[in-house]
Amino acid sequence: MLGKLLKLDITFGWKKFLALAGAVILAGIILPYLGKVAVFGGSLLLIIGVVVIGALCVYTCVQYFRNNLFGSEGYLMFTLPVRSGSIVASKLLTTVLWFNVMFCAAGVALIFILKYSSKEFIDVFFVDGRWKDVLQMLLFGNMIGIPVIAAVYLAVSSRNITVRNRPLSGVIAVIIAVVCLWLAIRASIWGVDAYTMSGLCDSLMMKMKTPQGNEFMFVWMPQLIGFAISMVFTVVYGILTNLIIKKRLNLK
Amino acid sequence: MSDMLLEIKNVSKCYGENEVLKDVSFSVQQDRIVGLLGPNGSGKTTLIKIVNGLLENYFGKVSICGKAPGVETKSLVSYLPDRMALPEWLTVSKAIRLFADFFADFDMERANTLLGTLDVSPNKRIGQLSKGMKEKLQLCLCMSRRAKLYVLDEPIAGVDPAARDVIMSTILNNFGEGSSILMSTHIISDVEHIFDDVVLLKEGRVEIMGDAEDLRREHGKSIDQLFREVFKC
Repeated sequence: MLGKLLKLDITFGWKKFLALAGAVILAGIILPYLGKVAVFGGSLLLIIGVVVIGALCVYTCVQYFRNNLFGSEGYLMFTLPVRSGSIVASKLLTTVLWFNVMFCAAGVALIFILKYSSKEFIDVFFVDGRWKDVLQMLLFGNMIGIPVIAAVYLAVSSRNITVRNRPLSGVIAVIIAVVCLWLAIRASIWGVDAYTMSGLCDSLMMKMKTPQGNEFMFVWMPQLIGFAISMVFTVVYGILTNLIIKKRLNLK
Repeated sequence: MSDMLLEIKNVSKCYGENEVLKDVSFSVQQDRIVGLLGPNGSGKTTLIKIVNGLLENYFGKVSICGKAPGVETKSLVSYLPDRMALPEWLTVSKAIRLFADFFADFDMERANTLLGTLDVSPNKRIGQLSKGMKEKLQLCLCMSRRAKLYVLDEPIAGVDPAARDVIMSTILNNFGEGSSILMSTHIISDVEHIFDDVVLLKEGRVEIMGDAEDLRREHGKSIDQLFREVFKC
């Protein structure tokens, strides 16, 4: 049933998110030419574009979550013969998918921009193994992003705790969002910091080889530890969201 | 095997201080059409939400084919909500596929026949349909299931008399042997002839219930007249 729910959730968003991802990549292709006119103007446009598209993605995901579960569509979703946990898991997984699609699109856009500014960029990027840095960034992005998604969904669901008192439910949702976001991000970064400072880094570095045979060191462990911590938070937030839905669901 | 499809025993439900259901008890047997009647705010929709597993924290006991409302009973109950619950971005054909995906008892052939009868275009997006067409589509999806119990929440509220006839005939022609219908409504005159049993809810309590024919004979009035008498302002 989780597969069927995923299919439904992906059907909702794939056109919107692919269009947004396309817009990001297109911006990456066009911006260097705009930047030629004014380097600062180009960067500013890039920043504005990233912020606007990021905000659009967040808005789309949160609105879908709210309408699909707590709006009138909830009358369909919660009468399907599936566990509420599967519904929550499906929403989380789909949002993580869109998050990564957008993250990759931003990465591709960045490659286009850097390629324009430095002719040797492609050689350095692909031949010298710099793409592994991008993978690390993706892991780091997920480390921060996934618990943030789960925390936002928990906050949206928490409005059901005091369903008959809308202002109070709003305050509760904001407090939960702030506390959960802070806890998850802080703990994940603390995991990375603690590991890096412990001195264990050296023993767990991976030796990598470029196609030319040059060796270099590559550190994965701090990110993996931070990622594991953030996953624990994500699971906890997911369970709490499910618990609220199970026990306190009260559709309008 | 028991022919009891739905059993509601001493069910109470509070929203804060406000008690919306007070010790409600009744049952629905196989092959019966039960009218759940009452004015707005009498607790009909709350009771229906409980039966459909949309509300959990209530007192008392609800069982559908011997099981408490949950994932299993959702496969047995076909629910028509009193509002548009289908996502507007879906097309009609995708909504049908969605039901076929999730409900093992969904009859695709019946759905396509009903779509034709009700004149609902399968290629349109639900958001493009008129209010009446959306209601017909929901009814079509609900009645295309071969469910044990059909729970219909105000299926004829807000539709014109001509559409009411179409809706009623769709309901009556498509519910099969061994199934039952629990239908809530406050528009009684047009539909009372189809009820086998009626339950009148007043301020969250069962005011009157029983076999529709017996009630008519006992009180010497139609169910509609009885309703008007009970809920006289």
